Amino acid sequence: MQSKSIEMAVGLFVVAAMFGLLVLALNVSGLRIQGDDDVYYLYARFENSSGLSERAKVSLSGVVVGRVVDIRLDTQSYVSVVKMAIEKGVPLSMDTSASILTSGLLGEKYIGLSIGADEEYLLSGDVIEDTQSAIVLEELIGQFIFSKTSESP
Amino acid sequence: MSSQPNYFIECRNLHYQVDDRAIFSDLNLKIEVGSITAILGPSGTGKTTLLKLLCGQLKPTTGAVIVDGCDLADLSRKELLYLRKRLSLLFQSGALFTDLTVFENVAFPLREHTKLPEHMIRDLVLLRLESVGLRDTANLMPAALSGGMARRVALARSLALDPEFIMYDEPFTGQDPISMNVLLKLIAQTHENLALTSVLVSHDVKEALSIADTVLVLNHGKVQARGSPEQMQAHTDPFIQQFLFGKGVEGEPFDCAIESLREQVLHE
Amino acid sequence: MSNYVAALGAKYIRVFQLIGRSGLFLISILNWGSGFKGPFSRLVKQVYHLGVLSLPIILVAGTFVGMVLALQGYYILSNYGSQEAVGQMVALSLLREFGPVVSALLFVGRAGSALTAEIGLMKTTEQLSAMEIMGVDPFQRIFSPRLWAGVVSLPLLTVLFSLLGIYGGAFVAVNMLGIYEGSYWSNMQQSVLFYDDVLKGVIKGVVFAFVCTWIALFHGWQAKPTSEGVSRATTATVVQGSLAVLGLDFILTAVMLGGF
Repeated sequence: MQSKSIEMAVGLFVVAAMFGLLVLALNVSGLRIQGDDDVYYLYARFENSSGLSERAKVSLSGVVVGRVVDIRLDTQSYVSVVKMAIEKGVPLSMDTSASILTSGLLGEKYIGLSIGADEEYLLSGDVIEDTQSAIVLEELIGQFIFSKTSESP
Repeated sequence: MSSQPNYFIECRNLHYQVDDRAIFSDLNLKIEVGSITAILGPSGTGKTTLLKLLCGQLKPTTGAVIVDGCDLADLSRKELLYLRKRLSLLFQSGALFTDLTVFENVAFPLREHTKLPEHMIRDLVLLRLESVGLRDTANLMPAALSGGMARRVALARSLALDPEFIMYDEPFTGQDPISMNVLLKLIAQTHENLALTSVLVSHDVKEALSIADTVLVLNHGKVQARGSPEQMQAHTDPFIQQFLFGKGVEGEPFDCAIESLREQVLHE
Repeated sequence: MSNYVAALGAKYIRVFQLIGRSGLFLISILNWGSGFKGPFSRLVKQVYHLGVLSLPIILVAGTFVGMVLALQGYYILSNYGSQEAVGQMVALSLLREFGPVVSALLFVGRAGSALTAEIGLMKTTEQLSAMEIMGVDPFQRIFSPRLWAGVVSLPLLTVLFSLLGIYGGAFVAVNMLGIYEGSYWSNMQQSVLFYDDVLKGVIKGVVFAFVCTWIALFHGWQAKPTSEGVSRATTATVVQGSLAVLGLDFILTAVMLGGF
């Protein structure tokens, strides 16, 4: 009957679109199904975290191990407090350092972790103290000019 | 619920206006149960509009349309739809649903309003199609039918639910003499066999008079005359004589405010 | 002078009346009737007419739009040495803007005009009146399935449009422009966010679908039952539908990006 083929066509159409949505989710947007049980949270305090946005990646030795979930201002000490979600399978030593780096020349900011030699590991809720703030281009230029002018007699 | 059991439909002081033109003013008419009434009048007097007012599709500006004792204006949308199961209207063009086959078209009211099993619906549809002589077109699409055939299928569809009241909008217009006869016989037979109340709206005077038992002549938004065909024959009004029987010469202008031809041609 | 003002005022009053009438119309057609089997099969039939039959134009257009975006984007980005970001550019443009908007415009032109013409014709041949007189509510039987079918179809079409655009862009970028395939996709994956970009695009699609189908049905219903009337109604659908999509797109984008 004619209506059977119509129903089949509509069914295929809907399935194709749903599949398309799935492809968009996985291939295009890199959505990863990550539950709250798989991560633990660490905090890092930066003098200047300009350019870093929520959902920026956190990587260790070039491998993405987590995401930035929150950036707040500590109103008492006026530093930026960044909350990161790190995968549970990645233990970090107590003296791990965190730096805000730029991917590429004009790319996005991300957090790069550098592991230390300490035998104790960071637990959920701990704070990373050893941090390197973001490099702000204007400051860099200012430093360069300052060093240049102080060189010439 | 009938307050006046003799009259199936009544119009009281009906006034209907579109923009600035009053199509009907102070119209009073009564349709008796079991009669075949022919509503005649020149083209443009609003006969189709009257049919639409009678079945509640249009609302009168003032005045009332009473169907079987109920004032249409008092009914809710649901009650109106319910009442309409007892009425049927046959449109000039048939108005078959173009995306359904002939069979599906006739089965439509049965499927919508009854819970009959499929095999009963099939039998009823075939019977109805047979009664209009078109059983062999059951699987065709409406586009494949001629105008006359489409009208007959539409008649089968209108009768599917055994209505009490049926209205025909210009059923004879544009028909060849053979189809005309077939239609006339169908309308008369159906009326008798199903004990309907029928209303015909037409300007094909001879045909309409041949089967009607009551005649209403409309002109300028009012009922000009009412009676049996014999009474019409004897009527003294010159307009009636001219319209029904072709006696007299002058045609009536559409809009009475227009100047005479002489003035328009010589002085413009 | 006062005549002119009166005429202008009358025109505006008519516009508001029209908006009011279309609003009441919308409320009447939301309900698709009781039961599930009958209404659902009508819905499926309409999804076929509106959605499946629009696939050819949507898929082809999506592919070409994606390919052009990749081409143009490549040359603009190479001025800044960021050609590698072309994947990201194509994906974001499509998902956020081109996908929903172009799909909606094509939908209005193809499916919207077909809807208006179909309903206008049904009105002209008195099929709607006949249905009403037979005690069947044409709003439930004819209009409602078409409205919901439109709301279902256009977002699905939007997804397919964006998808084909992205893959079309990939084809051009990798095979014609020499971008490394890995960087096309990885760059994209890092910057496209599912909830923000993909879903918001789909939401736009739903809003456009609702408005476009509503406009198409309304003009069909309002059409004067002559051939000129139907053609005027069809034109009105396409023009008003397109403008509505573009206007709504601005509002939605402002809300989504700026949180107004």
